[in-house]
Formats: sequence, C-alpha cells, structure tokens
Amino acid sequence: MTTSVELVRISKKYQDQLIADSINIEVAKGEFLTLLGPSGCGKTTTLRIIGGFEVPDSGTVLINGEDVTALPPYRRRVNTVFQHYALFPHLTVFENIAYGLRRKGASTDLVKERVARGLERIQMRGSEKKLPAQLSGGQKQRVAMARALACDPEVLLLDEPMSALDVKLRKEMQVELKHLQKDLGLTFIFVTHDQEEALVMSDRIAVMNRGRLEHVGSAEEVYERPRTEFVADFLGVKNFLRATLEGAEKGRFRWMAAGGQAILSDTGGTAKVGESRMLGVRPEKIDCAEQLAKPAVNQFSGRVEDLLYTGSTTSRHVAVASGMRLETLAPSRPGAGVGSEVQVGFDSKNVLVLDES
Amino acid sequence: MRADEARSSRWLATLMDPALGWLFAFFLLPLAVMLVISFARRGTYGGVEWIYSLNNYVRAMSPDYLTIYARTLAMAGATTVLCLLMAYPAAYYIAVKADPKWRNFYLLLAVVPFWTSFLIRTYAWILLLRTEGLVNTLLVGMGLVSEPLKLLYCDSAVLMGLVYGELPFMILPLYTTLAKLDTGLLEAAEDLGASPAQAFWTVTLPLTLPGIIVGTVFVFIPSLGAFVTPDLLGGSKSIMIGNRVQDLFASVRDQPFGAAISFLLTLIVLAMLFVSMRVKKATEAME
Repeated sequence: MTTSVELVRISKKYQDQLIADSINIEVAKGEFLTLLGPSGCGKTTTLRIIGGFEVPDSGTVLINGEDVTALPPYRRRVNTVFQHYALFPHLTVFENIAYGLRRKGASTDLVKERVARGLERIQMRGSEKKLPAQLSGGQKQRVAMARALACDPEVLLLDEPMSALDVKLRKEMQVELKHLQKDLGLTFIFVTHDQEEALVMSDRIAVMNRGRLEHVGSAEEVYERPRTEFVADFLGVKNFLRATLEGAEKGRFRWMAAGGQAILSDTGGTAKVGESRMLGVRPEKIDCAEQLAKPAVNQFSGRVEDLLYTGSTTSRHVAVASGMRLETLAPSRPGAGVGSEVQVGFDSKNVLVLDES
Repeated sequence: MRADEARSSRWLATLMDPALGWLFAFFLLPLAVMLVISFARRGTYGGVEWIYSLNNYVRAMSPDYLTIYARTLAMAGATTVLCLLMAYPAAYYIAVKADPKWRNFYLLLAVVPFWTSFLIRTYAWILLLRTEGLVNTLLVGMGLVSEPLKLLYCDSAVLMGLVYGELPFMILPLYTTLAKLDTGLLEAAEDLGASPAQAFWTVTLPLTLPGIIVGTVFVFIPSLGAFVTPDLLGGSKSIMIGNRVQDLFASVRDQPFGAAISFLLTLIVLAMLFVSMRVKKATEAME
C-alpha cells in the first residue's frame, strides 16, 4: 500500500480558535476517504489545507511522499470539486473542462481529446457549447467533476459536492461517484456532514469534531463500534445512558446505570471497575413488543409514549422504570400503540461503551 | 398582466412624467433646435440667418478641424486608459482585499473630491503646477532641477487634470463589478493550475469587463467634451473640441457652425455608446 496523502500534526487557528488540532492521517492510493462531521468541525479547512488554499500554522502535508506544505494550489497535482462547483460563468462547458489543460499548455489536439473523453465519462456529449447558467444542478456537478479530472490529478478533493442536489439525484450521484472512483483507481478525499452519504461511499471515514479526528475507520467499524460519545451520537445512536462498571458476570460486563438499572455488555471498552462511561444503544437494535418472542439479556418493561411512523419504519419511544426513555426503531408493522404496556430488550453485544469526546 | 400590476405600472408612468418632461424640455427640444441651427448660416452680427445648407458640416470636415478631433480623441483616449490603469488596482483593493469594515470609508475617499467645486479643484492644479508653484518649488528646493520645469499650459497638464477629475467615475463602476466577483472562481482557477496572474487574465478580467465598459463610457464621454480643464490648464496648442465649440458660441459668435460641431460630437458619442452597450450585453449574456 502506497501513501497518497499524509497529514502530519496539522494545526490551524482562526482568531484563537483551533480549527484543525494536530491532525494526523494517511490516505492510501486509490482510497475513498471521507471527512465527516458537523459544520465548523474543521473538515473543510482540512481539505483546503490539502488543496493548498490554507497554510497550516504547523505540521506537514505530504502528497506522494513530497512535502507540499508551502506550495500554492497551482503547483499541486490535486484538484477540487467545490461545494458550489465554481464553474467559470463566462466559459462554455468545453472551455471549463479545458481550463486546466490550457494552463498546462496542452496542445489543441490533446485538449480536444481529453475534453471529449471527459464529456463522455459524464455523459454530456453535445453540451460543449453550453454556458454553466444553462445547466441543471446535476449537470453542473458533473462538469465540475470532469473539469477537475481533466488535469489528471493524483488526488481529487470533494467539498460537499452533493449538498446542492435534491435527495433523489444525490443518491444517484453517490453511486455514480463511487463507480467512477473505483474505475479510475484515484484517491478521493470527500467532505460531508451527511452520515449516510459517508457510509455509502467511503472506504474509510474520519469523523471530525472540534478540529480533531475522533475516529478513523471503515464505514462498518465507525458505525458498529463508534469509539466516542460524539461519533456515536453523530452516527445515529439515540439512546445514551451513564453507568458505572461494577464487574464481570458470566463472561459479560455488568454496569449500574444512574437510575438503578443493571445493564450487561459484551465489552468493557477502556473502563476499569468502578469507572463510569456513557453506554449507547442504537434504536434499531432494541426489540419492542407487548411480549418479546424470547427473553433478552437486557430487558425492561415500559409504556409507549410516542409513536413516529415514517413509512418504512416506525419509531417507538418507550418510558421504562427509573425514568429511562428508550427510542426503538423497527420496520413498520402493526404493533403496540401509544399508551400500551410493552417489553423492550437488547442483547449485550449491542451495548456500545463510549469514551468521552 | 394582472390588474394590480397594470395599476402599479400606470403609477410608475405617472411618477416618471416629471423626469420625461424635463428630458424633453431641456434636452431633446434644445437638441432639435441645435440640429436646425446647424444647417443655418451665421448672420453678420452673430445672429442666425435661416438659410439652410450643408456648409457648416463641410467646413467641420476641414483638415484643421479633423486635427482637433484627432487631438480630442487622443486626449480622451489617454485619459480613459490612465484612469483604467489607476482605478483598477484601487477598485480591486477596495472590493476584494480591503477589510470589509473599511470598504465604505475607502469608497468615500474616492468621492470626497466631489465635495469641492470642480472649478476650484482645477484652479488648485494651477497653484500646484505653475512655475512658482508647489511642485516646482519643492523640486528646485531639493536641488533635483536647476530651474523650474514647465508643468502648466501643456498637454500633460490637461491630461493630469482630466485624469484627476474623471478617476472616481472609473473607480465606482469597477468597484461594483469587482464586489460581485466570486473569489471562489479564483480559487478554482488556481486549483486548476493557473498562477495568480493567469487567473487574473482568464477569470477576473473577463468577468469584470462590464464594469470596465461602463467606466470607460463614464470617463471617455465627458473627456471628449471637456472644455474647462483644457481651457485652464492647457496652452494655446492644447485646444480640444470643447474649447472650439465654446469659442464659436461665446466669442466668435458663429452659432450655426458651433451647433454643427456639437452635433458631430454627439454623433460620435452615440456611436460609441451603441458599440459599448452591444459589447457589454454580449459579455453579460454569459452570466
């Protein structure tokens, strides 16, 4: 595995606020890495540091092993698909795609050939003479892709390129983009705040929070075994419970929650006996029925307080003893209504033990 | 058109009446009178004899006058180019680079000269440039020149005065287009391998062309008809067409000929406006 991009202890401050806090990451050649996080977490700044639009206060940016920290954007073999595409409004689709090639002094024939290939790739042949204003959002995004790829970059940076598209188109483009990346075997560094988008496309996800990388791992790892409260919360864990580790019990870990509930988990995480941690359980991992088919390791009885029907799924908010409230999620089918007495249960393997962020 | 739209457009028409009336009474009507006079003949005592011919226009095409036209075009052209070269960096700084807090202050500085009468400002140039003026006193005092330079009553003095007077009219439209410039496009250009200079020529300049055209029109046209500046700062040889027209009306009292020359000037201006608006439209259509 060769390294395409490497960030070494990158830090950046804006008006005394750390936007990037000692970021270390290696991105392999041909990898699809997503920087995921809420707005203001530093993901875009990190991308801009790789692109050369921001100079880090400290740290090193290596591209293909070469230190490019001090190089301006136009001397890096990195291209960007910008959030709002930044297509040149005064240039045609052809000239937009040709822009980078022309700056490199490519011959007319080469420009023609490359632009034609680019248009082919984005299925927009025949639109050469159109101006960006005449294109739809999806087309603009495609042209922005073709323009960035025409320069034959080592790494492609994508700054929330889907955020301006409607949901349906976004889903299509996600698949298309993933295919394109696989076909080209190119390193993609993608920035988004949309966890689903990140899960669908990425080989690895780096979850960012307040300028730091909280968790870097495969989509499955980050989703199934989030390391911190923040990552769990950002990736859809809804049920959080503070509990103290009491000890082991039949090969499991026994926790005591604040309200006096005992909870069993398979892992102890980083906790030692007597230490407290936040426990998390995903709503879809909790069964909820008037009578559970088989008893669960962690089982409580309670009452349905809210029922949220979204079509394919239904979410039930169940209040159990000691004031604990659990959010469950299951495929929609007839079941307990609001006010029903129900049993809720989840297996010990579904209990996440989370570190502080 | 919906009823309330029709009503509001009727309202607008009513509100525009005073402006239209003004334009008609003090612009179109005098222009028509001038057109008629330009075909008439000069009376013995400076009046107008209503005998029509093309004589005035033929005379206006004589080599003497063509030289003055050429000089005028050259002066106005040089003024425009100098204004553009000086105003672009200034407008760029104000619109793009300056701290937004200070933007309005800088714009204010650009228009501050308007607070003083143009005539007074032009006289101030005389005080600066004359033989015993500030500039020469300083130069001689510092020993840079042995005797005062001839700075006043020459073409360069006229040019300086014109550029000084017209500069704000170039800065303001340039500022307006530059303020609208999406700096993200410049980042995109750099991302695609353009050096800052290349990004300027391929992105900034084409996108601010509408402002350049408006500024050019704003500066070129008044410079073309300038007569106060060349009158006060220019020598007998730096005459411009505006001075000629003034002379013909005020001292020579050949109103028909003055009208003909004015009319030719108006035609030149109209032709240039037409061309520049076409170019502007073409460049704006791209956005």
